[in-house]
Amino acid sequence: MNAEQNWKQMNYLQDNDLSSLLNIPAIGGVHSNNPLKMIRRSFFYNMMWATFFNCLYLVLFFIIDFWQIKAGIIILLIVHIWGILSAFKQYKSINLSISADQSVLEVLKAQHNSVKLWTKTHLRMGLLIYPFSITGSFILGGALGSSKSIEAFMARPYMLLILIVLLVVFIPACHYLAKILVKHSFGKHLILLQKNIADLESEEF
Amino acid sequence: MSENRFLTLIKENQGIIYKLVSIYANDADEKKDMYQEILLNAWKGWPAFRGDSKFSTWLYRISLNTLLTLRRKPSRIDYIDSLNDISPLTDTNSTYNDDSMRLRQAIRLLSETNRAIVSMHLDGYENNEIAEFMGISNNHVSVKLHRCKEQISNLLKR
Repeated sequence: MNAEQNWKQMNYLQDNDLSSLLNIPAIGGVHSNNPLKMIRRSFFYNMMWATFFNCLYLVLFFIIDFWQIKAGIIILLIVHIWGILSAFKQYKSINLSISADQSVLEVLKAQHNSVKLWTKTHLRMGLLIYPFSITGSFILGGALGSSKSIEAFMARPYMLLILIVLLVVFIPACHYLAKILVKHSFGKHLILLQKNIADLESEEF
Repeated sequence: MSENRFLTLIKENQGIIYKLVSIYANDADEKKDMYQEILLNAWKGWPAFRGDSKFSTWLYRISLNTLLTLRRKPSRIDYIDSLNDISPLTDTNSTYNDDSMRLRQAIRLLSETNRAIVSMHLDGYENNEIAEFMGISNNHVSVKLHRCKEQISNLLKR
């Protein structure tokens, strides 16, 4: 029997493990492992968390008397609203359906671009938020902890230096941590997508 | 089109899914996950199926696009040049003859995209159809197929 016949013969064989899974209610309840679904879900949770924190910042804005903190909160609110809008735009743009009209190479590239875009957006958003969060936490925590006004707390000569050191240490550390988390989530999948794209595009075997 | 029609067509063509899943899955759990993911995508895409192509061709494309974009478990096969070193992980519940099993194991040693090309070729698709489906040139398919055949026949001889 030749290879084609051997291969086609497999069309008529049964797999009891799999055939038992064929029914519409079971199909509808399948938890999809499509990476784009996970990314879409991640954008949704980002929007929810950003909205939650915006509400929290609004409450803080009206409770706290320090104008410096209020200014920081306004900046954070603007950054978060921008973040929510861009996350919503990307959330809507992710197409979860696997089309039979697209070639394998097109599907691979589309998914690769979506994952890369999600990664880039997350890391950039973080870089915008970390400085304000670190500064706000340091000033607010310090002022409240020492029971002094922000002016009095920051008037100490070394406080500005400490704040600068914290920013220099924590912004790269947070960025690096975010990179590790992203790599942990989609690193291997991205490498496999890249490998398959390169495999199809390369003229070599 | 109705649910029953969908189920009937899937049942008639599920050998396609079994075969494709068996050359990509690393274990029994992954085999089930892949099968379910294909069914889910086929079910979601079913309302858009216009019948321009055969259902088997449409299902083939949905299956391969799903398998090649699914987040995968790390492969247990790093590099093996003899079929005897691979265990038949996925088929405790199905019955393949020895030749089919060896052929399938040889295909599993190819790269993921080459597995797709070879399986389409063995299922009788023309090079231009494979090229269009994979998104590469006709010539590229011919070269890849030639080299895959060499590799498979070398493996089957051992």
